[in-house]
Parts: sequence; C-alpha cells; structure tokens
Amino acid sequence: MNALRELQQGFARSVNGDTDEVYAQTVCDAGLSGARRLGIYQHGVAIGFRDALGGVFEVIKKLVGDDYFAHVAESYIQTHPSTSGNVHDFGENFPEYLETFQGLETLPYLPDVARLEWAYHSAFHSPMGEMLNISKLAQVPESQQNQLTLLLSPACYLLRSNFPVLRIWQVNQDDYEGDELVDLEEGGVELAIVREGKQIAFHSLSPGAFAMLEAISFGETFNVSCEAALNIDPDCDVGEILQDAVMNRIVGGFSVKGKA
Amino acid sequence: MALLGKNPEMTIPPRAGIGLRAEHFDDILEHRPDIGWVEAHSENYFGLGATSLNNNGGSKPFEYLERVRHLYPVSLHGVGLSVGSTDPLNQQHLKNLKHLIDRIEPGLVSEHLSWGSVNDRYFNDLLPMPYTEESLDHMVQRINEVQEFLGRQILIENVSSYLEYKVSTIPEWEFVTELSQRAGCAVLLDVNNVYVNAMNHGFNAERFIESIPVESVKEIHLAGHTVKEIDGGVIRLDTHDHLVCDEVWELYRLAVNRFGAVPAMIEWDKDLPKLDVLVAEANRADAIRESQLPVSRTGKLTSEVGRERIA
Ligand SMILES: [Fe+2]
Repeated sequence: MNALRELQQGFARSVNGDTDEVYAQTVCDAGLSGARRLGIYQHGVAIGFRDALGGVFEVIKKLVGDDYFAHVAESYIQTHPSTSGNVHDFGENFPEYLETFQGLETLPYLPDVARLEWAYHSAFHSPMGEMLNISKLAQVPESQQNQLTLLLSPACYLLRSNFPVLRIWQVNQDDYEGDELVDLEEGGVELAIVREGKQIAFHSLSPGAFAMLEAISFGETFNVSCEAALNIDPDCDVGEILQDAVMNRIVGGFSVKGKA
Repeated sequence: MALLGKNPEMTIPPRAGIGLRAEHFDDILEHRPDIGWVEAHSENYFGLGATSLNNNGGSKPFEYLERVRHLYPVSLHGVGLSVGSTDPLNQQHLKNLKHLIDRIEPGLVSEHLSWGSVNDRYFNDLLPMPYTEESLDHMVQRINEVQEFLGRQILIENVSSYLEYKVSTIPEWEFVTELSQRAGCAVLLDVNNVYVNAMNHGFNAERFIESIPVESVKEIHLAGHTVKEIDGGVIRLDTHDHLVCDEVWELYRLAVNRFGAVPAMIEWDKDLPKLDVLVAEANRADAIRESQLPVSRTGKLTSEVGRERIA
C-alpha cells in the first residue's frame, strides 16, 4: 500500500497549495499540464470549504463582504483542515479564528456573531430530544436530591456576549424588515439557542437563569447550579427558571448518580 | 398525518427518482410529485445525537427525511466515507451511517470509487484513485470491510476525474468491473461521469458502458456538467448544476438497452432549480426507459402503494 499512500500524500500536498512540481510529474499532461490538473482539484476543494463556511456563517459573510469572507475562509481552511467526512462538522473553530484574524480588530462583535451562527447550525443538525418529565423529576427522593443533575437538551446552545449579537443577526436576515441600525452600546445578551420543531428559537435569559443553565451545561449538580444562579441574583426564583427552561426545551433531562 | 410505526420493507423501483435537497423538502411533502424514489446524501442526516435507538429523535433534516421516507422509497448515497483512502476506515463515520441505515431502512446504500482524506485530513471531495493492482486490492478490502460493518451490499459509483495518473495500468471500466466482482458490491453507474471522463481522457464512452457486466448495475445516475476552458484546452467538470446534456441522454438510452429497467436518478446540487425542473428530467428518463423497454410498469405500482399508505 506504500505507493498508493505516497500518491495520496503527494496529492494532499498539492491540494493544500504547495505546488509540488515533482508530484505533478506523476500526473498525465494530455493537453493540460499535471500541475494545472491538480490545480482544478485544489480550486474545487477550496471552493467547497469556502461555500460550506459561507453557508453556516451567512451573517459574517454579509458583514465583511463576499471577497473579504473568501480571504478569511481561505486562511482558515489552511490552518484548520477538516477532520470529518461530514462537511457539516466543518467550521467549529471559525469564531475563535475571527478573534485573532488581523484586519478584523474594528469589528470586535464578529466572533460572537459567528458563535451564534454556529449554535444555530448545530441546533439545526441536532435532535430535539425529549421533553423533560416534570412529574418524574418530582419523584426523586429528597435523600438523593443532592446528586440530582439536570441535562441540557441536545439541540440547546448557550451564548453570552457583550454585544447585541441577536439584533445584529436579526437585521442581517434576508427577510428582515424594519430598522436596520444596531446600537452597539445597547448592551450584551445571554441567550439559549434551541431547536423547536422546524424553527430555531432564541430565548433571552436573565442573568440568574443564564448562570444556572451554564452551570448545568458544565455538568454541575442541580444544587450547585441553583447556587450559581443565586450568587448572580439573590432574588431570582430558581423554581421559575427551571420551569421556563423545561417549557422552552432548554433543559431536557436529568440524572441521579449518573442514572437517567 | 400519522407517520409513526415501523417502516415497511423498501425496494427502489426501476424508474427515475431525484436527489433530495433541503431546498425542496417542503415542496416535496406538499406536492408529492410523481417520481419513483428519492436519493439522500447520507451525511446530511447524520445529526442523530447519541447512537441509542431509544432516542427516536433526529436533526431537522432527519425529521424531513423520515417524513419523505413514508412517501417515497429512499436510497442513501454517501459522499464522505473516503473508501479509497489509505487511512484506516473512519469508524465513527461508519457508525453514523449504520445508525442512519437502521433508522431509515433505505432500499439502496451507495458510496464512491474515490478517496477524500489522508493523514486524518479531509478534502470533502471525490478524489480519483489510480487504477493499479495495488489500488484494486485496497478498494476490494475496504469495500469488504464496509459491507461487513453495515451487514449489506453497497453500490460503488464511478466518479468524474480531471486527471489520470501515470501509474495507472487498468482502464477505468475494467477496474470498476473487477472491483464489483471481487468485492461483491454492485455498480452505481453514473452515465454523466462516464461521458465526462471519456471526453476528459479521450476514451470511448460506449465502450465503457458495454464492458460493465449487465447484472452488476443496480442504479444509474444522470446529471449535468460544466464545460470549462483552461489554457486553451477544454475540460468538463462534474458540477451537477445543469440539465442533463443530449450526449448523456444518448448514453442513457444505450445503458437502458444494456442494463434493462434499473432505477435512475437526477442529481442536481448547485444552483438548484425549482422542483418541477428535476421532476421533468426524471420524467424524461422514464420516457426514454419506457420507449426502449416494452413493459416496465412495476415501478409505478410500487410508488402508488407508497402513496396509499399515507392517504
Ligand atoms: Fe453521481
């Protein structure tokens, strides 16, 4: 398998953009040189990934323009090669990448907008999960309550930002009608992004609710999660937060001592 | 509309279907066009969460596929398994595929005679294999592994290519034939890819089709491609963004005569037109098949039965 493996590795180098003249010699040049033929693949692969990123990060593309987006995408593809045969997995690190990308310093909200788009994409490709059965939850004996852990729904993603990223996302939707101005000073958001049937819903959370759900997402017990909420907002009603979270399919299950 | 319950045994009827694309989900469910079946790209429906069968949920695309599945027979067509790669087979990808198969119970499962990754780096493209004995042995072993894991036969599709390797010693059509015979897989004959390669590499497309064993072909693909000029030369790219061209329809006629009533489908992936355009292409394929073969109404009947389940 050595020759085949070497052939594939050489092809990979060529597709990555390092013109490998020696490798190009292994390709027939009937009418078109081996290097040009490899270039067709290089171009096709780059376009494929750029379009995949563009499909997920549509708002980012709108905000920076098609050409600049292509430039950022090309650089991302080079530094963060795909590790999955499922192209829908591609782009997970794009938000972080935008944080350090030279030239985007004047748009500090971009990474969080990208996080929101990735959460939207992920929620779309996740199962909704079951509705949490409240009466079953109520049956957990008091003696076990300190081992109770709540679970977020598989299609729920939490996002905190110092920027009004939901407004930015909304005004950049194709079907948006209304005031297109976003005041960057209007403050941040704490969101749960959840799939609800055909729709992806955005729930704005209170600081206490966000703290509680964030603790849950970290795998903390119910008790610790409630404390997290009360630390942020001593007056918050954790029972109500839980109820809303269940209704909105943010919390979708629980376990006691690891038992579902 | 009650859509629960075990899926009935499904076979893909020997008539034309279309590729199922997200843009057409609502249209298909609402208008239920007269097509024989649909083909879904497996990876688009991998979002099943934990691989436990107790969890009956799925991603939003999966929920659509489940509903479509009750209206039409479904075939699952993979693009990312990287069958020809010299990396170990991606076990997670295989598991995801198996899980999807268990849930959808498709009539056919197919992948490509290509590779798409090496050193764990994926190109998400269908890259050409060299046609050597080593490459053939490798593909045979890999397809065996996939079929064993999935517990079923798969179909392997010939791909379009824009280059030939100097090391290749076996004509593509012989490679396809040998592969299907040695691995026990079926052939998904993409007539457009045959044409594209014949033009790109200067062989006779008819010879390709005539040398594939009759019984090995279980599905045919039809698609449109793009003619591009580079450095004064012409190359054909498998873009799936056009109507099927006349030359490919002619080859399809030849294929029908050789392979008989085999399910065919229209692939369209970029610059998607309205659903009607795809349905019209599928109808054209049906008309050609019917004009070439005297009796082949069984496909229609299968599809009628599919409809009645819902009514
Ligand atoms: Fe195809």
